[in-house]
Amino acid sequence: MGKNILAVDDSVTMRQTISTTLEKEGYSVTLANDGMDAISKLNGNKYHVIVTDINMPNMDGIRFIQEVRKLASHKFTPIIVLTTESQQEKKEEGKNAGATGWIIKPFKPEQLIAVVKKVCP
Amino acid sequence: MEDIEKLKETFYSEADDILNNLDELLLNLEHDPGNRETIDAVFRNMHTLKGSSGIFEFHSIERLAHACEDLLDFMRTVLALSEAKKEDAGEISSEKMIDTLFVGLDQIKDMLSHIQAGQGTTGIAYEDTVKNIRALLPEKDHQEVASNSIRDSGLNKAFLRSIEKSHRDTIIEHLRSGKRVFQVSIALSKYCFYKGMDPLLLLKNLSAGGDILFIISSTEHLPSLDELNPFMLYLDDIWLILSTEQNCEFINDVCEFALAIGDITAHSITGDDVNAAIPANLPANLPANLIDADHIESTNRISREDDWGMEGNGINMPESAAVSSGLKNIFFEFMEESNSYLEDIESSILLLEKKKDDLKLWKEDAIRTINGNFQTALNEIAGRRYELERDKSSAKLQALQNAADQAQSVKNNEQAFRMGLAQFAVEQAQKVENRSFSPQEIAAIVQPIMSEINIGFGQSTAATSQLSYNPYAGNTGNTEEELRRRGLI
Repeated sequence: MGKNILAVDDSVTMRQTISTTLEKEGYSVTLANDGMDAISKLNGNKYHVIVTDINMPNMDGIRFIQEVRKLASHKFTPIIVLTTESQQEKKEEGKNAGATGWIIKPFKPEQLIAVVKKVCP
Repeated sequence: MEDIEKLKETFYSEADDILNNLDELLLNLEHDPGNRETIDAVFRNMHTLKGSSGIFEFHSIERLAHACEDLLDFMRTVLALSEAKKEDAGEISSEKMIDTLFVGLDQIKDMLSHIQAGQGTTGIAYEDTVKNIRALLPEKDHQEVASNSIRDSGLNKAFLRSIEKSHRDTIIEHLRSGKRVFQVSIALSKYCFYKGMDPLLLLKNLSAGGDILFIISSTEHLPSLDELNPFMLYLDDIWLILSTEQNCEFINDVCEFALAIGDITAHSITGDDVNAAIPANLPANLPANLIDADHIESTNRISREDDWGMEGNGINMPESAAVSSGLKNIFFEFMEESNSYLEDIESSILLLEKKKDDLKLWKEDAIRTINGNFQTALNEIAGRRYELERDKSSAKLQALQNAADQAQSVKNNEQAFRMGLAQFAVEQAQKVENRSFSPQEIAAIVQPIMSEINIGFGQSTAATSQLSYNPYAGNTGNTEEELRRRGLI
């Protein structure tokens, strides 16, 4: 059974990169533009892993993680945050909000796959 | 390859949008340099551009966008400062910073069109721009964020001593075959599940790159079933022996995320360590209390501060530990089983949520239906009332009409009667006088009789007005005569 992944990023390039990379690995990927959009996509669905950007309009990644941790259905779901080297403090913020792990942008496809497998073998 | 080309197309079109946005945003910023929202929006766009160009290894764009991003971050910091502190921060005007951003933006555009045209960006002196931007920024205090990594806690002899002979032989075998053998300890926050972390995950990932030869954990803090919260981790410390062909970096990599919410140690052990620690004539089943608590206390658990601020206390070391030959298997089975329970619970919760949603929908539907029915009933009542009103007024109208008709017929009858009366009066008068009357004389007799009709009814219908003759209207000459005739004057 393919695992479901929810990927949240306001950049269309990033979204396509994530979906192309993970779908090739047999994951089924749902995309969302920002936190708000992602919350609506969580409703009634079950994702095995959530990958989210931090800097987004409407609802940023940190708020989104906090909201996800309030949902009974995704309280314990692994969440990977996408950060950059220059955003160390964001990584900390994400961790405190309930993120499981992180990946530093820019990343290579195999790095993304490795991180997802690390939290969802 | 095809994917990469498609992705590049997406990148070009997105970059185009971003550059257009940036043009407009920077112009706005020029007019209103203190607008935090605009700075945030410029930052976000630069950030996205930096991230996406990095994916395709367009490092020139990435570097320049990165520098711009840092400048914007600096602008934000300055903006947040009080006026007095702003002066201390430096003399650089926001104009200068925005101008520099414009230069950077133009260069990014150039580089992008070069790349799209299949040319390199070597001809573009972007490094100078990066330098100019960096020159505006204060020296960065290089606060290296301590990256988490596993610690080498040294050999835990008490743990090694607790390993029974059959396992000791296996460990020696692995060492002889050239594998590396590590003593690993895993201690996670009891709230680790709330961060999507699960010790079973670590064990699975470690197993994927090696063999777990022995594993032990303390069940000391495991409460009774009715007190057990399935969302808490009660296994304080997990100690294991891992045999692998990889080096310590592998363990570090597996535990990368877990290190953020726990403490993980690893120590490479040798055959000598094993032989020294394990007496050859060890009994098969060991009593508890074998773990050297003092040793662990001193080398382990610097702090198990919980990031959540739920319980900040470090977790105490187990004083006793249960050891058995089949523990590894039992432990795995237990973890697998609890995991499947957790999954069941999760799916039940999901199902419940769905049911709740269904119920909500049903309720909304029912309310809609009730409201609809109510509205229909109201409409019906309104319709009936209208009909009733209509019937009532038509009945009133009918009655009025009848009354009017009756009145009319009364009037007509009276007129006919008066006509008869007038005719009779004229005939009698002519008989008495024994001559025919002139029209004036007849009129003089008829008029008073007929005019009575109009006195009886205020309104004159068309029919009556033709017949009536008003002696006081348009014939004033007769008025005096009439009054005399009636004996009034």
